Amino acid sequence: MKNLRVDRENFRMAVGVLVVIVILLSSIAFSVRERHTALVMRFGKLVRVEADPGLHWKLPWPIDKLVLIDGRRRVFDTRHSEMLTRDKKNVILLSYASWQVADAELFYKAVGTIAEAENKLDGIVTNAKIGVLGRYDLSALVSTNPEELRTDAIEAEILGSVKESARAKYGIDVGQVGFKRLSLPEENIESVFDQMRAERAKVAAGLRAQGERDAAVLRAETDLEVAEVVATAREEAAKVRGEAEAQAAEIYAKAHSAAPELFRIVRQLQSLEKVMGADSTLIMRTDKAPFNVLNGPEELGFEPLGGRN
Amino acid sequence: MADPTLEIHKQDLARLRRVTGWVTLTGSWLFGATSLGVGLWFGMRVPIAIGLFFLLQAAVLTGFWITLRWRQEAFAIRLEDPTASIRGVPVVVRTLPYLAGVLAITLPFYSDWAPLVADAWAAFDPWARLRELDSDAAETQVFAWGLVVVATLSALFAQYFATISRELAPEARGAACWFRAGTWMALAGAVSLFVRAFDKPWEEGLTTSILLGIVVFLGGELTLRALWTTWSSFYSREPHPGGRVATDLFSLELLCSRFNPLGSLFDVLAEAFGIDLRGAWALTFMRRALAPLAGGLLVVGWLSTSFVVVEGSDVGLVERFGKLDREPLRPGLHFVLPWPMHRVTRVPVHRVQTIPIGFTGAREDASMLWTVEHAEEEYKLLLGDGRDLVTVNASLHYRIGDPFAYAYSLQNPDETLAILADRVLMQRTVGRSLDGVLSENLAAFGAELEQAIQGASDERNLGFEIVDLTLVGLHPPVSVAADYQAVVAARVDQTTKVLEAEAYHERERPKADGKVADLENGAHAHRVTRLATALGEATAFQALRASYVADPELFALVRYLQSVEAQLTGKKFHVIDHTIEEAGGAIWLLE
Repeated sequence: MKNLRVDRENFRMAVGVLVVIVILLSSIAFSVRERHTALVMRFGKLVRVEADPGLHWKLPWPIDKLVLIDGRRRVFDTRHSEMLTRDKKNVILLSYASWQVADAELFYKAVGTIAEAENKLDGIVTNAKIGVLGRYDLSALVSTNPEELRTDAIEAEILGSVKESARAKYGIDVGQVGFKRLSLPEENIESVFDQMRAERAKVAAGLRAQGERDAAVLRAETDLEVAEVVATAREEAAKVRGEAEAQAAEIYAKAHSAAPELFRIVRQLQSLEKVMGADSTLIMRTDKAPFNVLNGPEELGFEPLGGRN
Repeated sequence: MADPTLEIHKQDLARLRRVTGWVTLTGSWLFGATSLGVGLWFGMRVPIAIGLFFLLQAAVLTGFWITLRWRQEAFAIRLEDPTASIRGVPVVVRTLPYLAGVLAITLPFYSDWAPLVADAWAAFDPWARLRELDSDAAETQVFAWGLVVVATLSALFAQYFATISRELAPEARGAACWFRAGTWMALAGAVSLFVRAFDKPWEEGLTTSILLGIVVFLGGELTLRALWTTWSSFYSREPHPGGRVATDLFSLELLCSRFNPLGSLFDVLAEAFGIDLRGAWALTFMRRALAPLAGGLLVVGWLSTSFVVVEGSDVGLVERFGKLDREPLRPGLHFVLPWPMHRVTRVPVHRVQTIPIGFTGAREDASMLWTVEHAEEEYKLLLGDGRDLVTVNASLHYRIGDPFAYAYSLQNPDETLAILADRVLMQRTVGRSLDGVLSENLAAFGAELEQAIQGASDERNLGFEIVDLTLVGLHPPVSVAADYQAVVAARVDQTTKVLEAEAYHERERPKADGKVADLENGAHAHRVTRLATALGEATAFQALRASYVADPELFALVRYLQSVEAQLTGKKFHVIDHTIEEAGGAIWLLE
């Protein structure tokens, strides 16, 4: 029983010592991750900068205090802001900035946290953006003419005016300031939409009118073509008819010239037949055949018995 | 004449009052307020819970301290004159439990009513910090150490109050219970904050909820006890128990009569009900086994961090004390040194991930029509003419091609990729007109975007591999899309009109041809007829001529007579005697 008790005491002692060792280790050892930097501050004063990844040692809290800083680059969206270009056009230009900690000590003293750093950076980038954009026309940002676009120059100018002060004030290296979206303020969008609608209506009306015009032209052409064809045909027909008449006349002439007397007789009689209508009344004389017989049989070429009466 | 024991008693009482007042009471108030302040300022929830507990404890101790002062006065008066009447329990002691209890019940729900207060008090909103700030690991660690110190002090006070005799101060045992509870609270808080400082995922919310729950529970019991005391002093005329109302909480007595809550529970049960569970074998075994079991679990849990399972879609990057030291782990089970020596970051290299470009919050079931909103927000991109806007809906599918680049180039590579995709889209739209964009070949445009995004990603060594970019929509903003479709309708109308005119041509042209044929055929027919007639007549004439030549006069007479017959048959005619005329007479034809 006594042995057991002693063992338990020893066990507890061992556990206690282990716990103390773990606590001690955890307060004097620290690891620096890849691409991180550790600042060891002794009573608030920077005594060491560890940039190599791996295990490192320090004095326990509260003598040494540890600050870990992520040295990898970061990209963040700057705040939405409305810009006025030189030609007084409002645009919303969304931009981003990529940065990394360049001077860990200054960074820790000046801003400390990533959120705070981005807050500060956002301020100076937005400020520079407003300043630089005020010197350019909207056509430097958007243009169908590639030669007018100055996006790269504007970005470089903003970066130039930001880089120095970010490095000097906050220990931040700004690698790039870029634009990622260009739009119009909500208030202007409705009027832009109206304009787009009006323009579309114009295009639609133009298209319809064009259609009508083309159709009218086509119809007129059709009518003209038809008229031309028909007229030619008529002319042709008249020619044919004329020729026929001429030929017929020739035929007649040929026939009649052989016996003009006969033709005169036949033609006179034909005319008579044609001229006479159904209701015509004729007055005949008795000195012409066949009514001359009414004058007496002598008219037939012989003397009747009764003689002339 | 004073009894020496009474004199000692008087001195003890005075000392107890001094210790209670100056050390524990002040300490509790100060620490409670500090903890609450730290919690609110740095946005740490555990210190808030602990601060509230210590403020409650401070209120209870205040009641205790006032009771002691009152008792001391009463003792002094009794010592002088045993028959003197004693003033009743001070009003503060009667009312304090109510106040403390109600506050203890309501304050922990600060997160529920804080927004209401914040709204009403928009100008000065300390709760906003609470919601926004995230504490720094270093501050957390400092405060955790502070909590360890407080726990130790609480334990010492508990020991001190436990030694005070019941005759001197019946509340002392209760106060000891409060301090034991304070020790446990502070330790729990310290462990929670230490774990957090080590940057391990930890359900801090759960710890906070438990700690706040304890505060609310104690506040509830306190209020009920205060009510019960008031009720019984009205109806049963029982004397007010003074500070004991607050100090002697049953729940605390049950669990904190000793430092070991389980032992305390057994003690109280044995005392109150005569049940001695400690004798039971099973319980003894359990109590013995509990500590090694907990220790064992802790060790096993720690060792289990050396077994790493890498899922099929991932690879694992191993850091030894932060230094990247090996080939990445392939999917499967691996053995590494336990945390914090080896740290494994899993990177999902095989999984194809998707981000939307040009819009946010895609609606799953929305059809991709121009005039239907198919996402929560579609960006309206300004086009080259500075007037028109266009909306693009694309999805970028990518995977991590280079896990090292992905993990070590940038802190936020995924966000960066989304930003770069937006940028590429902007670069491809600011130089074009709307008609230019709309007439774009979608597949070619998508391929161009894909290539540009891949280029931008490689330039910054993000380690991404663009799998595909699907361009599902490229159209004017939804509000004006209908007008664009109207233009298409107009174009159709235009074509229709021209087609109609062409149809007219198709119809009229054959008609004309028909007419032409008609005319030509008519003419030819006429010619044929005419010639035939002429020839016929000529032939007939020739025939007549034969008869004529034979005897011209006779022929003429016959023909003449035939004509006259034909003309006169059926017609009215008059025959006039030509001799009348020859004789100079006149013939009158009167109708």
